[in-house]
Amino acid sequence: MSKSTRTDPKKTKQKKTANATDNKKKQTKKVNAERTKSKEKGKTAVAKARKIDEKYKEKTSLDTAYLVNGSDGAITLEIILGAPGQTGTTDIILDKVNIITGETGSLPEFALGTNKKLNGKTMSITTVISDTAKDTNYLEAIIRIRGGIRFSEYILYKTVDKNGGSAIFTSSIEFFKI
Amino acid sequence: MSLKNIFVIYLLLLGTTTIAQSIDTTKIKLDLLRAPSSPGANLLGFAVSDIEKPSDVSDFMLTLQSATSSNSLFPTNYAVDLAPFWLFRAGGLTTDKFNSRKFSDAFRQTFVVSTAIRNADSSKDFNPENLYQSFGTKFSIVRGQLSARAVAVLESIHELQAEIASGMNQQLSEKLADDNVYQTLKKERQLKLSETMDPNHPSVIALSVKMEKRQEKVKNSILTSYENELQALQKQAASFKVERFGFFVDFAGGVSLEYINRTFNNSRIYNAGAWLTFGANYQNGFSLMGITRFLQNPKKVFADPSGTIRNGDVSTFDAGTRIIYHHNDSRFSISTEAIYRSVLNKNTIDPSWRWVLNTEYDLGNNQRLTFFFGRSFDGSTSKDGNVIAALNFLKGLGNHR
Repeated sequence: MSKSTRTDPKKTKQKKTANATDNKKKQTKKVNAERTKSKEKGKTAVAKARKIDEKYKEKTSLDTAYLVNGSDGAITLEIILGAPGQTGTTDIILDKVNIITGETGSLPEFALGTNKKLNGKTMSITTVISDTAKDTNYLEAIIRIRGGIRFSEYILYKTVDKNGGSAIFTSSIEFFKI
Repeated sequence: MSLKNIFVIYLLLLGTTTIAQSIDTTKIKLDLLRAPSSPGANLLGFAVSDIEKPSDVSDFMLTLQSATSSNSLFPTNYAVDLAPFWLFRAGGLTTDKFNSRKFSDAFRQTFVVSTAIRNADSSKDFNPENLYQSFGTKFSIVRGQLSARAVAVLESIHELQAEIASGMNQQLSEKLADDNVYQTLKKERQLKLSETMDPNHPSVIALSVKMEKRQEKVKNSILTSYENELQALQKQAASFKVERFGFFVDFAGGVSLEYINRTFNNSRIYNAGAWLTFGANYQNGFSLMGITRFLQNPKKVFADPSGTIRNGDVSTFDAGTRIIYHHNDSRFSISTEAIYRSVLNKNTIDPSWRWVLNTEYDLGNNQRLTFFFGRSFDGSTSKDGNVIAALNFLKGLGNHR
């Protein structure tokens, strides 16, 4: 074995230790980077979840179109207020005419007019609900319309932070003939 | 706490112990005037904290999923109280119907179905080889009326809500009719609807969402003028409390079945019960309460506290009445109660009854003087005659009230 090819075992050991330390450092760096990445990912996930929560925490406005046909069949409206134990009042304007004023509680199903007559008209509903139930702060208004092309149900909701808090649900529904 | 107070408490504890030794206080206790809150679960001995009370359908499905290990196993021990009209969001459950005299409204608001399953239990009351299932129901037949104060608060809430709802609806529809951005979006939506003929088409929905946002913006600008009304509304709504006065009748009943060796077609009635609670309470402080109770094979035979009857198939009847006078402005309260109890289908135990007059005077500073006098249950239930009398002085700890 030539002299040039011979290596000092001490140096080799030192080199090996240095390599091992380097590898360890690299690995630690990699792990840390991954951790930071996953932390950021986690933060994004939390932020996303919060956004979704916010989105589903409340829906207090509705703007939609309800499809009608040209028949003489009646279109009916039903409004159910909740949750049980809450207190609510509703006001309805149909084509600039106040058809319901200061009606308390849920509204049982009633006829708004025929498909033919309602075409092109807009109905505005405003419901004010206050939290008077002791076991929940959830407030909701379920609007059901029947008699047109298909049955439609719209849900407006809000969970108030304070006991006694109120939600103002506003809806604009356009009757549209296709 | 001063040394004097500690000494007084020590003397009182000593006095109470002496009274407790001379009179069996378990006979003075009255728990008869109480119907179970969950008749089905109560028949199978479930603790109130173990009974599920879901408030909506998804909540109910969640409890069911948990009890059945994700719908893979038959529930072992499960008790649930369901209020169907509340669960399925039926109309008429808001406060405007709380004062209704109609039976249909009272029924919808109070109807509860209670059911429970007990399986492979090691307790001595249940056979681990068998399966137990119970069904129960409770509802109000007649309810008391809301207090004058509660009615006044509700009226005030409705007035404020009507003012806000009417003003908001009028202003919002007028402003939206004059809003160019909103009207442009409306026209675009009409065009899209004519093209797609589908209100759920993504392009139509996107336009509707934009219109909702615009509506929300206009609404918020109007809302600033209703700040005072909203504050007043919050105050009134937070102060609302359901207080009922007047005549009431409530019914509760249930039956439990025992499936022998867990075989469906081999079952027998394990126990059953029916409770009718009635009475009236008035704003002047008087209350009259009564209960009649029929129990088939009860866990505890109230007419037999000494445990003479050991075998099953026992039917018992208990009845009790109580008159109370207690006014919030008065320091003095008085009540009298009478209980009758009997075993219907066994002659071993004679029917027995007792009555007690109980008076209490609030001395202030958490001190009360109570006196009761009456006749105890006769027969083997009383060792030293049947006259019961005691004078108690109670002193509470903590702040002076």
